[in-house]
Amino acid sequence: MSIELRSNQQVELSGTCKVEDMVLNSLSPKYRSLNIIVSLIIGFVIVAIILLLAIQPLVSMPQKYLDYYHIAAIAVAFLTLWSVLYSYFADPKKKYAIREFDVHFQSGLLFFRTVSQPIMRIQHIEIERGPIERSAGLATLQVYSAGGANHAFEIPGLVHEKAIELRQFILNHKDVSQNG
Amino acid sequence: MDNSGFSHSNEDSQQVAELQNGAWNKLSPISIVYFTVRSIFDFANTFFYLIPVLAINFNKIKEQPLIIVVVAACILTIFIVMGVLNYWFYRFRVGSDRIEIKQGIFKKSHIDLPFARIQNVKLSQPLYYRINDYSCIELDTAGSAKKEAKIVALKTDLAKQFRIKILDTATESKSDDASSSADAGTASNEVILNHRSMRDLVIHGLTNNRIWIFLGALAPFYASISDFLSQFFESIGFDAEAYFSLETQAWWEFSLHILSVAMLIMLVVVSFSVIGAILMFYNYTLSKTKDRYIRRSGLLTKHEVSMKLSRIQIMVQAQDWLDVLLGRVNLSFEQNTSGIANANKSDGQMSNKLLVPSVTIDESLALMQDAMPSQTLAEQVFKPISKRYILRGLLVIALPIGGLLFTAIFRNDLYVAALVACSAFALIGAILVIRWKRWGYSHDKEYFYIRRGFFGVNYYCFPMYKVQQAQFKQSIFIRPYQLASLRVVLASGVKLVPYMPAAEVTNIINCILDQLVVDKRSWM
Repeated sequence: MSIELRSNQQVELSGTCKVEDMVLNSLSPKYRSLNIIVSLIIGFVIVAIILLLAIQPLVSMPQKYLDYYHIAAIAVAFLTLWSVLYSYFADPKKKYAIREFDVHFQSGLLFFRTVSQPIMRIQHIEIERGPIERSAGLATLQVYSAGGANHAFEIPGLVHEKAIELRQFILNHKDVSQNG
Repeated sequence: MDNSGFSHSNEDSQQVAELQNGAWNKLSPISIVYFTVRSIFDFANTFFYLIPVLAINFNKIKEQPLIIVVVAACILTIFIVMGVLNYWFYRFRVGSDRIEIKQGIFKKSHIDLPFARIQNVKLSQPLYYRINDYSCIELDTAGSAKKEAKIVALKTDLAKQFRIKILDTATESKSDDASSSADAGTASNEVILNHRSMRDLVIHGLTNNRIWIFLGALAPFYASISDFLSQFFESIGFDAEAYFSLETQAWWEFSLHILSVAMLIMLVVVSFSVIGAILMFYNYTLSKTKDRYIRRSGLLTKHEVSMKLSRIQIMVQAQDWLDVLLGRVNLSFEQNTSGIANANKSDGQMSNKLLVPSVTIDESLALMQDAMPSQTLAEQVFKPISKRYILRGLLVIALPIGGLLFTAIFRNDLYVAALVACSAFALIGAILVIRWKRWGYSHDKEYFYIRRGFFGVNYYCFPMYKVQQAQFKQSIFIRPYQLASLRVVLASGVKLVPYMPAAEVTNIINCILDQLVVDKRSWM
């Protein structure tokens, strides 16, 4: 496992590495474009449905719908734009780091957050890939501790091979196999 | 364990061994009572919303007493038949390292539970088992909590031995038989750490309102109760309307009446609460064996909850405002909650929490010392959180509420609106200041301590090596002031300390993570 060695060396070189001085890795650049594309598609489809319902001649829609449908369409368009902008600025902020004994995930544009998960406390690991993620060759690594599913540690937007490597690193970790 | 249980132990371990012969066992017929009662409860739970309907039509039904008797007899017979059938189809088999239970009349279930997966074993003894000295064993599992594994009727002594056997196998699944049976011998050497007298329970009832249990149970009957009360008042010639009328009496008389009624209601509430406390905690003892705490209590149904010392994630010392005045403390030891089905049970029955009700502060400190000897909660000097916490509360809670009140009353009277809004703002502000003053955190090399509260005060103490996950949280509003919040995930739940200095948060997270690098103890 190449990643295991690399990560070990980094920690040893930097001595007692503090959480605040960690070298963080970015997610796959595809992750942001994927999120933006998905938002755009969803927004476009909803707006299209709203407009089509208003224009189509087959079923007569209630008058209230015809009065207000353009407001709904604008609202959806606005939300879409918002989520596109949010992805554009927030997704590059999502970063992760692996140290010898713990994994970290950092995120947040307005609400900044760093989650630190000691490897020794990991109960099980999952790699999740939806159809869209699969098409882009990405994967989400989910790590569960005894804190429960609500506090699952998650790194999205990893290249699939990287996610497998990470999972293998954690599974091979002596803390998981011996002390977990 | 009482002496009678101990003297029989040899015989019992033999019986336990007999149980483990791998054949399917049936329960004692007394379990029919258990199954019958349980199906009545299940029925009542499912159809309890029908009770008000019955209550409304009570007068009509009253006219035909024969029908009631027949219907009641039929229903009871059905329940008894259900009980018998449940008993008939219930089988359990104990292997050397697992237990299997087959049950169910229509919906059959087969539970196969390895001892190693059992988190906790709980004994309970309902009133009707008291006569023959039988007990239920409830087996808590870590993961699949929806299936309840219960051996419904075993002789109490046998059940106790069986519990020791299961727990020993669960903890030392790799050790051989000889050593585990030796452990079983030492495990029965219990030391009683604490027991609660009637006086303590009365205090507990006073300080911890357990009336909600009763109010919840009575909810369907509110309408009929109020009808009954008004009829009752009429019959004794008490005119409630005149009693509370401002026209016919002076204001002081009126306020006296209000006060007396309030006192009366308080009295009823408090007495119910005391009764609740006594029902739940009668004859409370907390005892300790080699590696676990055992809590026994209960007036009607005796409960016995045991918790392995090493499974305690956090100790909570909770004081309500009345507790603060009386110098009492509710101490609880909490273990992991994830995947436990009884999360919505009241704290008396919850097996992930071991509560010591209304102990004095000294007793509480002694118990905490016993559970985690190196902890020094008593000597901690708590550091305050930032005053911006108050500001956030004012902006997020007090301002909107004040604004809403103002706009709501503005149409009628400008001055009243301004006055109400300002006083609401001031009141919430005062509460926020108290709350801020209660917040405090502290840590030493091994433990983290939190103080928080409101009118009362709660202290939390957990060892840092039990942390499952640590989070550093910071919004852009507090970033310029170098503040951040610390969120710590434990197996028993999440603890959050808001608005600490950011450097302090990273320092603590570093401290926790560094400790886990060297300290390889399990959290369980």
